[in-house]
Amino acid sequence: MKETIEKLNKIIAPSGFEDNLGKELIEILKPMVADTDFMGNITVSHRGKAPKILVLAHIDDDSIVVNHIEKDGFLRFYPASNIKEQQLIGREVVFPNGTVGLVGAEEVTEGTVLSFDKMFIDIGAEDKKTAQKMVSIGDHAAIKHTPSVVGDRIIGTNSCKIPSSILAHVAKEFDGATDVTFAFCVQGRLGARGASAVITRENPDLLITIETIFATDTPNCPNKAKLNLDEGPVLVVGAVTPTDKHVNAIIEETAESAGIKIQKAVKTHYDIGDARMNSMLSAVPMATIAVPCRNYQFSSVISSNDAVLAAKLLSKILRKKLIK
Amino acid sequence: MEIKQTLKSLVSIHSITCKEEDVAEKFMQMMKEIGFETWKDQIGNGYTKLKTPKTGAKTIMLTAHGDESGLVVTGFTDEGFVRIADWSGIDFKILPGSEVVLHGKKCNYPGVIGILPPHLQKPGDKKAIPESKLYIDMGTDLKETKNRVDIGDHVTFRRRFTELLGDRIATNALDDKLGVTVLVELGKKLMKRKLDVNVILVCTTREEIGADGAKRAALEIGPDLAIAVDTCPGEQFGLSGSPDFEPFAKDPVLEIGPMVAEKTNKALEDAAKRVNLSFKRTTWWGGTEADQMWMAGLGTNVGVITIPIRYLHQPVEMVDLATAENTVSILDEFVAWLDSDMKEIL
Amino acid sequence: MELLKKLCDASGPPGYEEEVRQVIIEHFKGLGFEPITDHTGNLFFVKEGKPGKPRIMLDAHLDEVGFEVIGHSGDGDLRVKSIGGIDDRVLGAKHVLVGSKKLKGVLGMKAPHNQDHNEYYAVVPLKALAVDIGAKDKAEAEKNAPLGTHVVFDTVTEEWGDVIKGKSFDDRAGCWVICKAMEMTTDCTLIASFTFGEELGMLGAKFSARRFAPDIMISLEGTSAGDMPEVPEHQQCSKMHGGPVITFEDKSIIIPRAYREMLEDTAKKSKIEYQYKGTVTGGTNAGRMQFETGGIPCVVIAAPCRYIHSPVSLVAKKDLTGMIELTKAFITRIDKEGLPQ
Repeated sequence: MKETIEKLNKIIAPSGFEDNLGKELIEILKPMVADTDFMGNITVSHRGKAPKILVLAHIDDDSIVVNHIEKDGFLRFYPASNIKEQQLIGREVVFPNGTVGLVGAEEVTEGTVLSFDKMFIDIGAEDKKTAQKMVSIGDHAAIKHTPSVVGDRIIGTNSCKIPSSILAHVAKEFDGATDVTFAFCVQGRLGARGASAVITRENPDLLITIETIFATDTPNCPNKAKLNLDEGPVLVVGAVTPTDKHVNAIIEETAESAGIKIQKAVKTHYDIGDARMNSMLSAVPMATIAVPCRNYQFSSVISSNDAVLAAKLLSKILRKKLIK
Repeated sequence: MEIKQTLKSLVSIHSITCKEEDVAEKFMQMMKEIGFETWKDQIGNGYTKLKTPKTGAKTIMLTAHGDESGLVVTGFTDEGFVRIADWSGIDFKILPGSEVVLHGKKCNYPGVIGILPPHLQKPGDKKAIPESKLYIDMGTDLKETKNRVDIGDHVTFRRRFTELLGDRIATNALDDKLGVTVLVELGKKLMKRKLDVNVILVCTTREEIGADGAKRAALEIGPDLAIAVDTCPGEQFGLSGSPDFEPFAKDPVLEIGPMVAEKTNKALEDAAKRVNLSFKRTTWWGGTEADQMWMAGLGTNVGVITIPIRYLHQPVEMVDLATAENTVSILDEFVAWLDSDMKEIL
Repeated sequence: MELLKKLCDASGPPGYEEEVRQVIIEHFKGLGFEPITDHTGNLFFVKEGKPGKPRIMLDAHLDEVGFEVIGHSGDGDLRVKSIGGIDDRVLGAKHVLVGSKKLKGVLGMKAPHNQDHNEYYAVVPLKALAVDIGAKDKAEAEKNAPLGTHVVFDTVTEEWGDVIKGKSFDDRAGCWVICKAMEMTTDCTLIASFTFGEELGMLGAKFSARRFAPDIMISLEGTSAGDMPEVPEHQQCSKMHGGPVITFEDKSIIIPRAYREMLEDTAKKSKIEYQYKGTVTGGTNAGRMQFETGGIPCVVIAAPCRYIHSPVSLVAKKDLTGMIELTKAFITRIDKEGLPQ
């Protein structure tokens, strides 16, 4: 698992430009055969007994999109996903073709708030013509991560790489009797867009999503819910999008009989992606398994143990009869 | 409705303050057809006169101003947009999205006052766009724009004569083409009467910037009584019951106070009573031509009658024509009643 | 431009698009098409092509931003609320049309003489204004414009040289382009989809997609032109006279690259001057349709319009004709080469 996470961290996959990561995933998934659709979603279908289960992970990174190239070679951009202005100042961003840029901002007078229209990216180009050889309008860029391994923990990982690593491990080795489709979905950071298209195509009877969730074991964390690293994968229950009590009960039982300690958490904030996926399903239950993740702006710390156990739990769950 | 036609003819003419020639011409032409004597002065006032056969008779003068509020061209942007500023009393808040007419070198051109694209409008922004950020778009580049207009050229609003329900009209420049219309209709009625006083009806200029036209008229004519016919704010949505607004679609308004002789006002009210109409009294407003005529030497021998309209100084000014017609009837009765020495008043 | 004029002069805020539908139905009757409708208010026409050829949907929305009557004051004024986004700052001193009978009305403000200093510099919100149709009292107002009556700006469509002035180019320009494009000959199946309620959140789009499950959807829109003073270049969405606008990304969708590249290449090969949508803002029906029926690839072609969502907009004739040419060229290419991958 650690190797997979490290490998995926090397490839940036900004929303809409997940192709490079897609190619790597297809390699990792071999000998399983993967399909790719026009959006870039990658699916591995394992035909079997009903009910039909769809397990998905979003694979894209937070990104910015270039909308304008100034005549002196600077780039103007918009945030593509939910990023705050302050998070980007001084950061290095990377484009799919390898071009690197630094994010800067115009002078802001006291009392005014920094906004994206006052920011720009410096890719070192001396004029527009040079810049146009390095990037195109519409290109997305994301932040590169070079994580390090400290025992079982990985520090400096992109949290977006965790769900796809877990799903890849499970998909590659799955040989149960149930009908399961594993989907690596694009544009998740933009509100589960790729996943929504996959859902309307597959029409599953049950949807399981793999995610990361904010850990609360940092100093003076205001969130009093107990979600710690190294205490196992997280079963997300209730709150904004309904999760099925019956499915969750089976998940808990499976965990117990397999000796996997799990944590439980309630998702309290409104997630547009969840809402959209839910609206694409027709009264179909949705379950979520997550890995606790300490997020520091764009970089995170996780325990690979939690990820390994999440994969193990998922494999076991998929062999169970989850719905009648 | 004859008064509607007269009004329509007059409002179709653009006549921004300082450029009132066309409307004065039209007024004089209409009055000539009715049978009045006409002439104009250097400042652009259009005078019309109906002489009485009585020798040594006094003179009553009624004025209404022919100028309207508008904008002026102050400059251009590199892309051919036109910068503007208020010329004579326009609230810049009404400008975004308005259709205007630019009075250029050779002819008039249509334009629209632009707004920011939706994605740049900040919701909850409570400040109106300042005048300095507004501009007119004619859809032309700088070369063509400069071909068409110059700095200092004037801008008025696109003409629309909108008939609403009943006798209500929304149109441009009711202030004070409505008053000029009243004079024309009054002229028609007076022609049918045997008058004992000389009557002078004047379409004045430059009221919006200090009533120089009226001042000049008062000095030149030196009438024994002068009455200004203008418009005042009528009650509109959200502003009913406020003392600053007069009841709309009811009586014309008579202004009272120390600057107007009570005798004049009483005589006007009696005239109204004789034709089964009435006035609403309101205290002296200021801001009409009577101010200048008072100062030009007429003293309290001035009067002010105003017709309440809604949405003053906007291209959607609205009136109920019944009020205007009533004003004509009252004035007709009043002027006909005057003796050649006006002793009841003076 | 006669049809465009008829389309723009028609009244149709979200939910009240009947007059617009009628103009379109009449046009298509003349071409021999029968209208197809659904329970929501969408309008469709289908030109069947040869089996095996791609099914192409051309989509535009019927609605424009407008108002509806929500109450009557004691003096006979109409209280209204806006449907679709309209900036408060364009409301003062404007003419409107009320209801399907198109009664005349005005939105007027307080005279400047009566405003105090703070009022003078503050935006007057819609709730402080009312539509005046000249009614004498509440009863007359209710009789002529009952609750729910729709209201639109009263703007006459006119040609100003090489530019057209009118209201609601967003999205009557798109509707017009579809009306013209459906006259072409092709082996592909063409589905003209005129959807309702886009300005309120792309309400009709979902039903259109689910009913016809096209292989590709082309959204024909009116987008904002930003080539005006006070707008910095990197915030200009598009420029008038710059040709049809091709979207690479907006807030609702990232146009699949292979399809966008095919569209761009078509423009280049057909020598049609085009421009990118310069800002990542706004959304269209494409954003709503992209996930339906297993995923539908969408492209967006728009006309640059100055001052959208206000009483008076401007659009360049050249950009409109460019839009039709590009749409037809793209359909022809899909017919010949099929869809990417």
